[in-house]
Amino acid sequence: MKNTESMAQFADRFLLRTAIGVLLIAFAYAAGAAMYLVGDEIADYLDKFQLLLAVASVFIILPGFIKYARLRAAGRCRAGEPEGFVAEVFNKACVKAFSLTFVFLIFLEPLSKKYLTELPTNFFINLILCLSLGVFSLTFFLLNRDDEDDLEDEFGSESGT
Amino acid sequence: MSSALKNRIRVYRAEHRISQTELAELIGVTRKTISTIEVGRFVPSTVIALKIARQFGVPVEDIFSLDPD
Repeated sequence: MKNTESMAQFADRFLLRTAIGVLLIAFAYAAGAAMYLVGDEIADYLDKFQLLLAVASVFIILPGFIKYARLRAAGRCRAGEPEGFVAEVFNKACVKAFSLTFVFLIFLEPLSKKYLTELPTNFFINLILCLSLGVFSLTFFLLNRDDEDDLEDEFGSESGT
Repeated sequence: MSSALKNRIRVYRAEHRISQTELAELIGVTRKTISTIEVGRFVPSTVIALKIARQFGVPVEDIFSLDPD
């Protein structure tokens, strides 16, 4: 945690980095699924690209996770704290991804039996994980986007009237 | 955007002459949280609402109210 950064700011930064890392992992799973649809040469490149993305996501998420774990162990923050807008957005994104994962599975199940019978199980696992994690990340960034109303306003008029 | 919950945080900030950033630091949240509460984009928890009210020294009902509709 940076010296001038509050616990709340660190928490928001940690959640943002987690969402970025998850997006990279989603792309990694997309590459993993695509490997079954392309030739061997391109599949090799995708394999390396997948590894690169996985390493990048670890470097993005892990440092913040370790710091967060240390703060929890030291009792400086508790689960669910500090509360805030970004934490709520994170939770909403998790719920959205969880719900849509089941929708994806329901649609994919008949497709896998009828039209995609030649593809291995690993393809579908990669595809579902890609979609699920991708939905989480995109939902998070969409809900967390800066609104034109979200501007620093020293002193303003009454809100909500 | 939540239209059911109204708030007068900006009014009290003006009276106390503190910025969103300063208020956020005082109650332990980020400026973005304060900003999104003010514009109705985020409904604060009871804890955050009470902390804001305590900071301004007023009952929470003076700051937050329900839309009569």
